[in-house]
Amino acid sequence: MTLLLVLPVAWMVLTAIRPASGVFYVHRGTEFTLGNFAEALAKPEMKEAFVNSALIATLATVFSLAVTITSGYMLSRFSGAASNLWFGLIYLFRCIPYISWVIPLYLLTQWMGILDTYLGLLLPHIAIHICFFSWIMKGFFDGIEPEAEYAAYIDGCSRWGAFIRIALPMATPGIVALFILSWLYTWNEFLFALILTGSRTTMLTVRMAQFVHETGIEWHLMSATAVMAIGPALIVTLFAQEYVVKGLKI
Amino acid sequence: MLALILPALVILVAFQIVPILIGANASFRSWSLFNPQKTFVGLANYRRILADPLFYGTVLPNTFLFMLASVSGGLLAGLGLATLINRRFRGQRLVRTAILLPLMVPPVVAAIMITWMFNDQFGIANVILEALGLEPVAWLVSRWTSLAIVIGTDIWLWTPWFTLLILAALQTLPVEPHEAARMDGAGPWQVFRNITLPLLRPVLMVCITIRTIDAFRVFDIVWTITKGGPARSTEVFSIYAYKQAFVYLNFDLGAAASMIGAGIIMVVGGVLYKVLSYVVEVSR
Amino acid sequence: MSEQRVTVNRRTFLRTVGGGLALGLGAAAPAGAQQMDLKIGYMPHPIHENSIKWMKVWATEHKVALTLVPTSYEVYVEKMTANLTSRGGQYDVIWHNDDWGQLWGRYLEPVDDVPAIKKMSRFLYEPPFVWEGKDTGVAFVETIGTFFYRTDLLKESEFPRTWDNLVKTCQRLQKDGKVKWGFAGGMKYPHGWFTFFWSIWANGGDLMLPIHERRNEELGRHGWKAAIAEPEAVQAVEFWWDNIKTHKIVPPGQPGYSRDDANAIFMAGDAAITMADTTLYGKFNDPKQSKVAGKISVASFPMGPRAKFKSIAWRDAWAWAIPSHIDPAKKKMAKELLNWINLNREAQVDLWKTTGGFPPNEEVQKELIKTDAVFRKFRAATVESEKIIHGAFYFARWPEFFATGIDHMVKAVTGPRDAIKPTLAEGAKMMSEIAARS
Repeated sequence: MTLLLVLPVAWMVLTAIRPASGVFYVHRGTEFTLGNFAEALAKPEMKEAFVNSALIATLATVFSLAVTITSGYMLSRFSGAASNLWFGLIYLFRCIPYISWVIPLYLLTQWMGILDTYLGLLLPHIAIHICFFSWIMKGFFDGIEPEAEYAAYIDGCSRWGAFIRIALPMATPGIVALFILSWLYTWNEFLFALILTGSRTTMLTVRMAQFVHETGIEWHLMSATAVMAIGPALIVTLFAQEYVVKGLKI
Repeated sequence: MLALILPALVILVAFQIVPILIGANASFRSWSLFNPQKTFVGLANYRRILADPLFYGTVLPNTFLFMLASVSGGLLAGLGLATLINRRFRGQRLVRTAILLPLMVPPVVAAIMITWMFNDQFGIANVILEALGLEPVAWLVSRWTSLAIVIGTDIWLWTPWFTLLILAALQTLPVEPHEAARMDGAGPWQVFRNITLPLLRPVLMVCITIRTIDAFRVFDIVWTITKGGPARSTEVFSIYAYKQAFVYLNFDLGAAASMIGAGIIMVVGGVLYKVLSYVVEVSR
Repeated sequence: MSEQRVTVNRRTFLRTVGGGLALGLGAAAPAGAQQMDLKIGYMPHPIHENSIKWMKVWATEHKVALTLVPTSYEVYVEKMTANLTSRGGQYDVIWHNDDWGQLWGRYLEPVDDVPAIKKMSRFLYEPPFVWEGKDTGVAFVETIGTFFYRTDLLKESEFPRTWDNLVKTCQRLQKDGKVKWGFAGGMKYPHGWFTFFWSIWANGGDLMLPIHERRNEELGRHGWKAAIAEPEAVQAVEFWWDNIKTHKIVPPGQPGYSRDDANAIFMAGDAAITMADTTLYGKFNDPKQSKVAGKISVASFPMGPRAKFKSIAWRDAWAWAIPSHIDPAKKKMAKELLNWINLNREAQVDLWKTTGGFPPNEEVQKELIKTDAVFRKFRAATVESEKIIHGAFYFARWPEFFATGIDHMVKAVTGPRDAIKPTLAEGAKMMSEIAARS
């Protein structure tokens, strides 16, 4: 099963090391090259795109986590009108497809003067993550029995104190999982990147998609770029996983 | 308490609620993308979508089929993988990382690769079939093989997501009940069924509900692999709305279709959430 | 090689007009001390890139900065349309395809005063780029479909002139083991041109009645009638059904092919014949990307049994356009730029040599006819056909109209053969309704 998960990626790696005329029959022929990587990276825009994507992915993840851990906690621990309303809102917005509001979003960011800037891409991403994360975090906090927090109150801890000292550490694996998912999601995100950026803040996925053009698909370059894009993703994942293991030991 | 959600709320209002309201507004107006007249037309756009035989005859059935198959496939695979790798073994880190690989390829690129793998001339899928002595298949010419490819790709894409979250949930579980059960002589399956699964339910419930909603709205991989074809037979609801809004340039009809779809999934998701909550309560 | 051309031109250009230019700039400088910046919205494509290469030459001479904003084809129309309707300032010069003319007409600056347009065929402009009597785009390449074939498999004299012959030729080549497939062409939305559309036109049919009419007033007067259920079109779809299922001269997956799939098959050496835009010539002939480089030539469409002419071809153009809401000074510079590119002989010849796209300046074309044998062959295969038509229609609902048409043709060609006619009739009914909403 793991093999099945890896197969398409392996195929992509294979495509990335075939010359342009060898990508039709990827499984046939023996010409291999590393030139695709160099060719894909040769354009300065590509290096910029790597930096942009990494920057947006990291910032969006950190900011979204900062604002959603608390709201997920709230959804889990407090019942009442405000909490229900918040949950209702999140639910509602999760249901509406991007298609119906991505163009209004484009016009809105244009109107605010932040179209094709980091901020113009970052804030909508955070808005998306907020919905998703508050909800997942609620699930994690739901899974943690609140008894320990009650015990902390009795010991004279404040609500905030109980949250930070008791609930937060217990939810660490969940937070790390979200960190990975959020980072990878933003790193791979396409639709917003496509619509909300122009020449100044292009993201990697958009650059990759530009290997698909009117005269055909440059499989070899697209794959080479995608393979290189796995690098940073892998580093983030490994780093975060390491942290999970450590976090658990504490 | 409000402080807990205030920053989130502000961003949400500006970058999600307002655009959504603009989109919702368009669904009640005559609003073509190239010439936004914006005259109020009431429910006319909704009526036109609901009266379209393609929408209720093909699009909605495809969407539900996709949703059911993709969510259950991804859930089962993710649950299985997470339980299997939630222990110490040699090569553990390698396997864990390998499982996450699909998450590291942009879905659009992955979908393009998959399309190429199922190309009837060049694709590896037909090479394998021929090696097994079977006839090559023109995968993307029939509705059912096309849908199968799309669903398979989606499961492939989302299995790691389930795995990662379930794994994280498994790691937050208390060890005592498991040990107690094992002491009592329960086998691995019984421990999983009677101890692990009930404890996992809060996270599973959220994962299932979120994935159900997202699968209902699936867009990019279907668009990349089939564009809804052949002959609109694999269109799902987001593709339908997208085509109305951006291919046919009827932003009004696209917005109305989006709202109808959102309404349907809201009800379906709500019922599902209630049912799952009930199951969790009962099983306690 | 192309890089070298730029520098050579830059040098010659400087030498000849350098003095006069410096004077002109000196006079203009006090008015706008700040350097002007022109933002070019385009799709990454060899044709655009060639055009931009020459824009850069001009920009350097005129001390204008160019900002390039590439946008994927997938969202090009949406994004540009949103930008134009909201009067956003992201672009000063934009790529304008012939079949978007009626979507954007009202938002574009009239460019009748660009002198280079006088050197081009009026056919390219009317009706696609005309809005309320004014031209709204300056063509930078002609886009014309043609047949490509393998010269190592077929002699020029052997290229089939009729459908019957096409089938027989393909079957012979396949039987002799020379090639896997006789023909491969894009078929699914939005690439119906490379199979369905050319065959309908080559069989004396069209997508609307009266045939070959493209003026909206006339189409309206005749009741916006779609023609895909007329005998010519039905026969064309039956032709493809037979080619796939009976004659087996095209890959069985063809109804699911975009033009990229079909081009890949041709470039991999697995099809003897394909149909594509002439602008693909550069790619097909590039040994780095294509296994058939150096052994391809072009020919005109094989004609169907109901053909009304000896040969037929479509002829359209891509243009650069200027949004009407930008700064007048920028408009003026943009017009100068577009004029310069089309009058610059070297740029026009370079476009043809590196991409296979016809330069729109007819004086340059006349010169190329005299000096370039390949260009002569391309001309003969395309614009010198007996009948020349436009490859699209120019009413606002055209995108929905043609998508519906292709979808029904694909449905017909993948269904049972005797259902072809009713399926197309159903499509024609829907298409007529869509067109009537224009």
